[in-house]
Amino acid sequence: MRITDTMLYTNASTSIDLARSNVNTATEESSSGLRVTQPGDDPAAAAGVIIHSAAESFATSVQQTATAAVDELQTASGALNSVSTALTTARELAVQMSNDTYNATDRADAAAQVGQIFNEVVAALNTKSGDRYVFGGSQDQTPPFDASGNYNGDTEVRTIEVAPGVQQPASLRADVAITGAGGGTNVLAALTAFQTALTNNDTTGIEAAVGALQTGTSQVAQLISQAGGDMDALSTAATVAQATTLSETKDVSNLQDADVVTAATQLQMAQTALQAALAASTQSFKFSLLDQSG
Amino acid sequence: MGDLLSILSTSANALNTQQSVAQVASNNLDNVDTPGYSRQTANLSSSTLDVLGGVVLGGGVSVTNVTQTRDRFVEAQMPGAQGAAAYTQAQSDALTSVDVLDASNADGISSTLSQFWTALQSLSQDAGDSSLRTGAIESAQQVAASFNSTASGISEAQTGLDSQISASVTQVNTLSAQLATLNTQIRGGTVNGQQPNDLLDARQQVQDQLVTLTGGQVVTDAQGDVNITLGDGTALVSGETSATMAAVPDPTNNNHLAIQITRADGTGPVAESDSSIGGQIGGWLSARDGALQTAANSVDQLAFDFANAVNTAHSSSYGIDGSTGNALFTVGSTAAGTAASITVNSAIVNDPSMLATMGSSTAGDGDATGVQSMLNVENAAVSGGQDPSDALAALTAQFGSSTQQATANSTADAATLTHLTTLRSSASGVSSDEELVNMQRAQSAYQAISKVITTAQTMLDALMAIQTT
Repeated sequence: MRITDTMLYTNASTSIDLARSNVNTATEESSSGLRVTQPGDDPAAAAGVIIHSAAESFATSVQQTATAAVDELQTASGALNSVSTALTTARELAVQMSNDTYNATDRADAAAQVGQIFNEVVAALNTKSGDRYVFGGSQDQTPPFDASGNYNGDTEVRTIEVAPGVQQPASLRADVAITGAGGGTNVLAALTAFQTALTNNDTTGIEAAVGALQTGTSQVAQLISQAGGDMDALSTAATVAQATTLSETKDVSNLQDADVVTAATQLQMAQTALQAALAASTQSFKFSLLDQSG
Repeated sequence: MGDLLSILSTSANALNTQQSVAQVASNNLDNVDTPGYSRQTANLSSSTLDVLGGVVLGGGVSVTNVTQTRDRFVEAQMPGAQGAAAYTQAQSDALTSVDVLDASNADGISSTLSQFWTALQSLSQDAGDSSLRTGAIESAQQVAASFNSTASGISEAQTGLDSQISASVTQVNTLSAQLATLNTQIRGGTVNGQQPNDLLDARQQVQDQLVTLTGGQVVTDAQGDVNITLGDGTALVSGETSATMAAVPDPTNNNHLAIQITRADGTGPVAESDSSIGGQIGGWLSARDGALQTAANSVDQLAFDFANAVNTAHSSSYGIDGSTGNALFTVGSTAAGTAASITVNSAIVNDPSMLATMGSSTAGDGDATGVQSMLNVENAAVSGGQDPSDALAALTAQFGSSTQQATANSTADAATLTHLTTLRSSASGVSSDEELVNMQRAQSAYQAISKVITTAQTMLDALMAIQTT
């Protein structure tokens, strides 16, 4: 092949350009740590990054909301424990007062004690987490129970989508456990009736209160155990979500990030190729008749 | 008959001839890196002086003509390679310049959608909280803003291509007119087998540029004229006349520029489809109306489907102020242009209590039924049978594939062109070594002929000496 001067210089500049462009790409990859910056770099990986990032973000928000819900359920559970303790005290008092050895004066004193217990229970049921009431369903800005023990909340139960399409309850229905909605006993009404029976020295009423308070205690116990179950489920969901977050982050990284060792090796190779191109070009310029002819 | 004086006269001719050879070599060396220059060769031939008694005596040497060296086989392949390389290069440059669909873009649709779902998820756990409500509305505004910036990123790339097309069309018209003029000049300059080499070089350069811009086909006719036709057969340059190209806004294509040709005879203008234009302009047209438009349409469709799905959930729910039937996102009635125009309902931005979080007007502020139904959109098949993330991933992958293919084609076409350019340069380029040898050869011949003249002179002197004695 006939080699002309233009070829010599064009070839030199083409090969040096190519080598420089490779060095540039390798430097970018090494310095940014990213293998895929534009969709065109690897279309499948770019699409995968979007899907896995969305899954990562979903899992992270599940983890956050589930953890927050567990905290709130703990608060609710603590309040229910106080209610349960108060109800147990009231029931013991009822058993005691139903005994014939107590007279009207004793029972009037006990009535005052039951009034205390009633207030304690209402106060516990009006517990707040943050700036909202935990037992009012969606009516969380006003106290769910008034001083007379009337329920102002609703039947709403909050849920968390712990996995696509899977809703896990994250709040408790105080109306079922306390007001006896759906066929149970109204605990606060039972306390009031007990107090009235004590005031009226009505032993039949006091004996009836023993049973009602017993039922109420078990209703509350049931709700506490439900809270425990919900907390377990949510903690598990948070743990699973944390693991999912980690694995999705890893997937995104695998798709998008440059392998540090490979990137460094490629940079070294590209630099060596550039050096070779420069050296070869310099050599090829050296040989000319111009240097030989005087 | 041969005599001493004729030796002197043929030698004088030979000196001139060798000077011409040296001059051609010198001209070649002068133009060693002139773009478009083809090396020239002085073609020598010996001439007959006389026939003496049946003996043919040589009459020295003369330059028949000076010709260019071109490899017709390589030259025939050049226009196709130039057009293809310019086409794919323009396409690849246009597509790789778009960065709004990069997955790593923190303000991209992918990120803001994720933030929107996270904000709704938090809101679902405390729907009455005013800071969470404001946060959710702000994240909806960010989603709208990311759709806006993605749409404008794509449309800016498209309008950028329009301005490049417009500038190049002007260049095409200048070059077409030049080529037609050069055809005329070359016709006039070709006399008695003498080639107007510099005009031929100039025409070759104009032809190269025109083909690079338009991807036109080159046909050299019997008269030696270079004609250029576009893909649909419309002549851009025909002999001594040239057509006029124009870029006019096309109302059916968002007022992007379309190419029209007014023929050399003044008829037309005829509309040229994207596919009949090649080269750089064709590459820009194909990127603008192909991959970029597809991406713009997909982003519009996603914005439209996403907004409507969220709006359906939102408008059937209730704000804590009891309002209902409101859309969260303000979008038009068709998908076209949605990504550029989508905003969050300003009434809701001004009054966060209108954010429809409740399932009924009588529910408490903490009711998150409305939030849950908006959250359901995250994994619902709302856009072409896909959820929003999958639809976004699909359109990103499609755009990525187009870019990747254009880049791969560009690399391959550039390699073909480089190869042909090397072959062209090998045939037509100047080698300084070769020209130095030619100079040396002319110099040696010149010295030899000078010797002949000295010898003839000595012989004549001897003759003169006889006569004077």
